[in-house]
Amino acid sequence: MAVQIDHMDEFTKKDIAEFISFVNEVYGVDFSGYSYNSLTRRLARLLNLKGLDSLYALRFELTNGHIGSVELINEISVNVTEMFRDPEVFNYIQKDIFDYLKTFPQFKVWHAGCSSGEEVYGVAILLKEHGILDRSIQFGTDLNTDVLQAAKTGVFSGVDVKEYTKNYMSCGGQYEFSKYYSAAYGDVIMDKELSRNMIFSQHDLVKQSSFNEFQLIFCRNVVIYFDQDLKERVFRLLVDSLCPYGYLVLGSKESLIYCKVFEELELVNREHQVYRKKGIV
Amino acid sequence: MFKAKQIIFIAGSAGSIQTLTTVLASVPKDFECPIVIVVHRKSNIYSQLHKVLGQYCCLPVQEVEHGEKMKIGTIYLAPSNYHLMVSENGILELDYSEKEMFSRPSIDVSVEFFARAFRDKLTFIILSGANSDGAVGSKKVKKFGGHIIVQDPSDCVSATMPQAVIEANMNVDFIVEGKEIIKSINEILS
Repeated sequence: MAVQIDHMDEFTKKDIAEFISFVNEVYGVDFSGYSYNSLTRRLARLLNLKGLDSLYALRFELTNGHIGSVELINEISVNVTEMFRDPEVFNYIQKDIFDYLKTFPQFKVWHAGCSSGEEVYGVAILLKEHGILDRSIQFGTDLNTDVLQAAKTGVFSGVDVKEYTKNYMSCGGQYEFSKYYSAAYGDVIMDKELSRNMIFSQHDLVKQSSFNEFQLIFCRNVVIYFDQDLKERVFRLLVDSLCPYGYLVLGSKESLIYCKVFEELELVNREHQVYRKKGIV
Repeated sequence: MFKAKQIIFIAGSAGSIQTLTTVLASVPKDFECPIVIVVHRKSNIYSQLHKVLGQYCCLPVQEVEHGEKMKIGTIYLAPSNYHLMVSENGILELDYSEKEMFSRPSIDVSVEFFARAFRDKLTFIILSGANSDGAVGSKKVKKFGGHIIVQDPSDCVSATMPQAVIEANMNVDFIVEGKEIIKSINEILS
């Protein structure tokens, strides 16, 4: 569905700021750190989806209960995700990061902003192929509760299987992707063994703090929606959640080298945006 | 506010790479504008398109990194599997949201931002392509006073995309063969 882009001409920074302030006051979710362009795009899309013609109308629908707050938050946040997105990154991870993980009897992985969980299942598959799935605990967190529910079921649309199969092969998967799911009524159900060590829960990167220490953190294409201040705060949170020598993997077109927190990291691979936390100085 | 004589935005899909290399090869070393390229690309395929294009051009061609500011005399290629946005200050942003018309990058999504940010300083060039992505966006270019150069549909491998832009607008500024596009750009610049 094409975004009805005429709405965007009408949004001023002030309109958006007022709406976001309303959402924070009433629902306690703070989108003020999101980039103006991203918010413009998300809100225009939401208005189009609901057949509304202004932010004022949207606010009205929220106050009279025709649109729920959970739905609002779930539509503003971006929920797109894929399995083995940028397969060459997952190829690299298997070659360079898994050896580090193998040095631990137990290790923890955090997928911050995991959406419906495809990335988490993908990594579970690769961990299994390297014989270290049993030692892992993978946490998948997101602001959006609907997608987390979907992630917990381990059921994905069959429409994406072809693409994921290609990605799996490109990233160096050792077997057949079909080994890891069973097909039913147009959907695929991921092998339950993969999710045995997975925990999905809601976590707000904006408002909440660190909740554990991890050997590996994925935060791919999440902070691209944030302005510089919020980005710095989130990267601070992520680095605080990394154990010494732990790895952080961003989206391949993101970077944190201009952020303050970069002092505590090494850029291990620029092309794949992989960073490593320095040891205790 | 980002300042340049014009911001050159080149878009295309199936069959556009050949023409793109022709246009890039004709860009002089002292070209006073940034060039932004959005072409439909396959995702999750390791691609060195920016290097391939770079071989035809004397100016550097690079894939956009999220948050970078446009510079005069640099050519920016939208990476695959992201939408490309821009602000008035010339900062390029990426977005990983739903595909539009099955495309990501989507030409319509980008043009919407470029037209609003740069207004009459935007030159939108549409090349060969097999769907009509870009037609809706092109109306915004005109709305905000920018220029449109269309590759003559008869000169294209796939006429659908340029044809859709012609049909969406009362007047486009130029309809020319691929090899004449640089002349049209120079006419706009002078």
